[in-house]
Amino acid sequence: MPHRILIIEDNANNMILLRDILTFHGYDVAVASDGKDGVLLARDLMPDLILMDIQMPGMDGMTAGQILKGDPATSGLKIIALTSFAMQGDREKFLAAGFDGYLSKPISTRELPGLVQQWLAPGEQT
Amino acid sequence: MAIQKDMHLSDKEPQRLDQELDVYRIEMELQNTELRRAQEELESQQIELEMQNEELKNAREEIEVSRNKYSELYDFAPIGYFTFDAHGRIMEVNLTGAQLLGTERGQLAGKQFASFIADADGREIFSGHLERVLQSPGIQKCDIRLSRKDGFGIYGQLQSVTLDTVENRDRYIFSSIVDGTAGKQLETEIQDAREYAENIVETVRKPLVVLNSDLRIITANQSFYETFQVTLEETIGNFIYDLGNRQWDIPKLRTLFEDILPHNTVFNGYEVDHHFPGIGRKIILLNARQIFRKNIGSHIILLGMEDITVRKQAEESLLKAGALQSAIFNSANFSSIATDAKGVIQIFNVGAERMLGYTAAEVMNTITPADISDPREVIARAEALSLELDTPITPGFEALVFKASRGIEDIYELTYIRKDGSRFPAVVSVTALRDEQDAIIGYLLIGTDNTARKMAEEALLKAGALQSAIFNSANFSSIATDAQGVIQIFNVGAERMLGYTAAEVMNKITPADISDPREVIARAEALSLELETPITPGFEALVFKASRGIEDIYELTYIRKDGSRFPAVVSVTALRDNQNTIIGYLLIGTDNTARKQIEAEQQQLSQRLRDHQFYTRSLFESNMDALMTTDPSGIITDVNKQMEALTDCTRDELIGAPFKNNFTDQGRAEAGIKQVLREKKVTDYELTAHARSGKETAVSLNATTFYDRDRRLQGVFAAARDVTERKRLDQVLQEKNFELESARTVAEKTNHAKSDFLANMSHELRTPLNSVIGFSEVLQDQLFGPINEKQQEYVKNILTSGRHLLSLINDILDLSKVESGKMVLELSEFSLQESLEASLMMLREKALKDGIDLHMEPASQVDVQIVADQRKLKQIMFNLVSNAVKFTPAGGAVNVSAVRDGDFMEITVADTGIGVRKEDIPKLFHAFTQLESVYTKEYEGTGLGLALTRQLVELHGGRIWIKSALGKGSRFIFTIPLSQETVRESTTENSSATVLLIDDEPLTMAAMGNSLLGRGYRVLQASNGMNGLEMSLHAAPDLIVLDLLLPGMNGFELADRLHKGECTANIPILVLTAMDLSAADRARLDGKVWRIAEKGSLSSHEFIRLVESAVADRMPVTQRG
Repeated sequence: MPHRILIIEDNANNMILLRDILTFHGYDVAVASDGKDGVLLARDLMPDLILMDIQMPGMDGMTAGQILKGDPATSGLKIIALTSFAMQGDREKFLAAGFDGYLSKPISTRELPGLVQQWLAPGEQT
Repeated sequence: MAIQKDMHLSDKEPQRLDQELDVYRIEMELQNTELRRAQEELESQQIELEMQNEELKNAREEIEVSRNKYSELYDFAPIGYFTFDAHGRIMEVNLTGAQLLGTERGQLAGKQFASFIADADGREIFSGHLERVLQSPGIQKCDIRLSRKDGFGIYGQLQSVTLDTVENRDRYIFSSIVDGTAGKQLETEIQDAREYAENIVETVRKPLVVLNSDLRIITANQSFYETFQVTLEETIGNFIYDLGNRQWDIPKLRTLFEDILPHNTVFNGYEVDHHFPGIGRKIILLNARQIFRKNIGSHIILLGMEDITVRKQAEESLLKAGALQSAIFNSANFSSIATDAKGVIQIFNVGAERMLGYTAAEVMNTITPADISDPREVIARAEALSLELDTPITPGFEALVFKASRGIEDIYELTYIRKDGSRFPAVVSVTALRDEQDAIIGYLLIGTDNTARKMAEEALLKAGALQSAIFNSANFSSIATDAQGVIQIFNVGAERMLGYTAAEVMNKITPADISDPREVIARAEALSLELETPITPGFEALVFKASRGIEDIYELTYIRKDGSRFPAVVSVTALRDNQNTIIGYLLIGTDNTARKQIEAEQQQLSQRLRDHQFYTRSLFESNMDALMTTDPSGIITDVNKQMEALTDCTRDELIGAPFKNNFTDQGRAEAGIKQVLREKKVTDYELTAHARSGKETAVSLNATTFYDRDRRLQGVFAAARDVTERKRLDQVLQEKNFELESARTVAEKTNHAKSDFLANMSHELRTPLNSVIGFSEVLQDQLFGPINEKQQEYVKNILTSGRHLLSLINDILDLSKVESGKMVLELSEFSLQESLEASLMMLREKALKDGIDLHMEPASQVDVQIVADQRKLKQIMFNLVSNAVKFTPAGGAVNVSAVRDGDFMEITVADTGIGVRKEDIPKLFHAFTQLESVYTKEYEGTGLGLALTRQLVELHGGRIWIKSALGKGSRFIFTIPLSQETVRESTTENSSATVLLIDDEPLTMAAMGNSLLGRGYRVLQASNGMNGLEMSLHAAPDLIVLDLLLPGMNGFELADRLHKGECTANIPILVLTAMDLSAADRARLDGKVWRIAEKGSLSSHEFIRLVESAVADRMPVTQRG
């Protein structure tokens, strides 16, 4: 049974890129293009890993993440922030918001599979 | 064929033999004929021989006859004839010879001639004589003394020649001896006489030579050798004309000897003036006496000489110096004494004889002028001169002439002592006499009786020593004319001033010809008017007054030979003969230029003084402040316009009134003045000026005392500044400062906005780049199926461009972070070697592809652990190395080396690339200033890399610089501290303290941990809140360093729990956060944590300090608990 990964990303290109790569590597990939859809889909699918873009129109990634982490039903989901924010203190902000990890764009397509594998591995935190 | 021919030959053989026989016969006949001819010849020779024998016989007979005929003559000749064999044995002797030896002729044969010689020396001479005779042809001579049996000595000269016998077997010597005894006696007499004469000659102090009749020098005295500087060898036996190298080739001397001498036995007073090589010109007075020596029948000549060079030259100099001086010289009123260079008197004129009582003969060549001077004065003068000229001067003649010898005009008073011992004061003028080479040959001392001078000073001024001095001085132009004005004397001063030589003007022109013609005309007109008699413009105008006996000194412009002019002051005197008739004029001029210049300078000075006064006044008036001067009692002596304005009074009203009147508080004003007088100055003395109009002005008074040149107090100088203006200015300044402050705030805000903008931009740019790069990678990796080569190439281009764009954005972002101070070091301890190698690894592939040798210096000291931000160090290395690779052409090399320098590592990246122009180096490390034109067209890059690199190096506390030669390569060198902590002294003190670090960021934790471990702390680490809490409870650390943002339980919660816990409440908590804490956040932490610090702004050193002080604070708490 392959791991299920939910990608929440408004930028269609990036979304397609992530989807294709992860699909290629054998994951069961679902996608949402904004925070609201992402939250709904996450509740439905209860994926093993959520890759959440932060800057999105409508509900942004931060809000979506906090909703999911705040809901006991979904608080156990592993959510990784995907962001272009690279300013000092960003990482702390996301960790403070409850995110389980943080991935700065641009994402190396060659490193991503490895990272995903790490996050999915039980009992590991980064 | 051949056989036929042979047969034919043998047929002819008998015929050939006959023919040969015939030839023989003919030859025989010929030989017989020759033989006959030879016999005939022999016969005729025999006849000839017989005839010769006959002749020989006749000749022998003739010889025999002539020998007999001359035998008598031979025997009785007055000459002794001897024939010796080769050993000196007597073979034959004539009668005279036998008589000379005083022995019978018959007893002499075979005797050694030497046995008749008187002394051993003579025998030696004789044996040498024989040898010479035998070895060389011709006659040999020698003198010998024979001793006869009767004891009578014979002097003789032996003349010998070899006589070869017919058989030529034995050689004989034929000698003749003349009895020379009488001659020898004469010679001895002559010798004695010569020695006698020589002794006489030697005693003569002047040069004297004795010549023989050949004019060869027989003897000369010491004085001769000294005078002509010749040696004995060069003199004796030499021709008088040719003394060594001293050529006396003097026509006059030749004439003397060749013509006059044969007819006169005595001649006196011939002067020979000759320039001798080596000793220069000599004038010699010759006296000669020819003596006929009857007994030897020849003359000798005594030649006495006197070196009169000095005297003659002195006379010549005097002659040259002109008529006036000559007159002085011949005058009985002046004592003229000329000496040679040593001071020995050579000339002693009539005046000197009269004044001093000596005759010339008494003093000449015997004494110096110092001998007739007051010795005390001579000593005093020597002392004074030694002091004046700073050189030791001997009391004596030197003291009298020293100045003159140095070319210094010298006139002084001196007491002369007469022969009778009486004294008189003289004024002596000394002149050095010089030859053509300017060498001093003597001195001329002209003295005047000063008593006479004092009696008739005026007269003496005109004609005395002073005038003589003037006349000789180069500083006065002295021109003497005849009565018509034609120049007769033109002295050195005139030559110097006017540029003419004496020869050019003497007997040619009048002084009027070298004067400004307009001035001459004007003078003629003025004099005509003054003296009411018509005066011709010309020479007459110049001397008219003098000719009338009127003292005349006037200014005149002389015109030099080159046409230039100079002002002169001319004094004119008429020269009169004994009948008081004017015989000429003396015009003495001084160059007035210097005086004119001084006058001009004085004028300039007074102008400058006026200018300066004006300048001072201008300064005074143009001052912004109200200025005044007062006398020491406070009465105003001067004010400027501002003072008038301040007081509303006029200058006249103010001056003379008390200073204090112009101020509201007069007492304070007066006190101010007193303070100035007491302390020499006051500053910022506050007063309120009171104007007549009632206007009051707050002023600040600055005042000083002032003095005249002799430091006498003149009064007080005070400046009253209107301080209302200053107060206003202060206000303006404050406003300006405020504006500036606002501007700065705005600038800061703008800067922040810029940083934010850059951050946003980078985000916006990164998002699309994300997919550009990502898709390119997927395509390149051909995840979804193969693509063709062309497509692969395009994908690669997209990827390269995308990555370049990304690095550009990253650089911009990093720079903005550094600039806004948001960049912090994430420290960790790592191996420098590994880190550097990893940096190189990233670029090794590219270098290999470009054909560049990239390697690390094997000798590098990289085997060290370093505490730094590893990612940033890699970035630094990556930037430098990629730069080096980029700018190095294929085949080049990039070399990385590292050396340890104290607490720093110095890392060098050297390349053999294109290099950087010297003028570009300063720009190199600046952001946004790419070295456009030269480099970027060929080499793409962000242009930000080096700026960022520098920021990163400096962030570590290092330094970066470059050494580069254009075309040869560059060396980028940077330093980085081995550790970010520099203070280590308290390491041991805190070794017992335990610090718990709670942070989820491993790098931060590692950096902090390493810092603390390095300083001897015990370190515990927890990566989340829950672990942190547990460790706090169990380990009871001395300090907890807490990050606020933690996964799971965050810092706020943890701080709450720790504060509530019994065991943990007293553990100080140092909050390290990157968060911008709100007031609510701070309120929540207040009282629970020891301190809050910002992560980003904290250096590792500061962090350690915080930890140290936290642990120190905790100590009493621990003891209490």
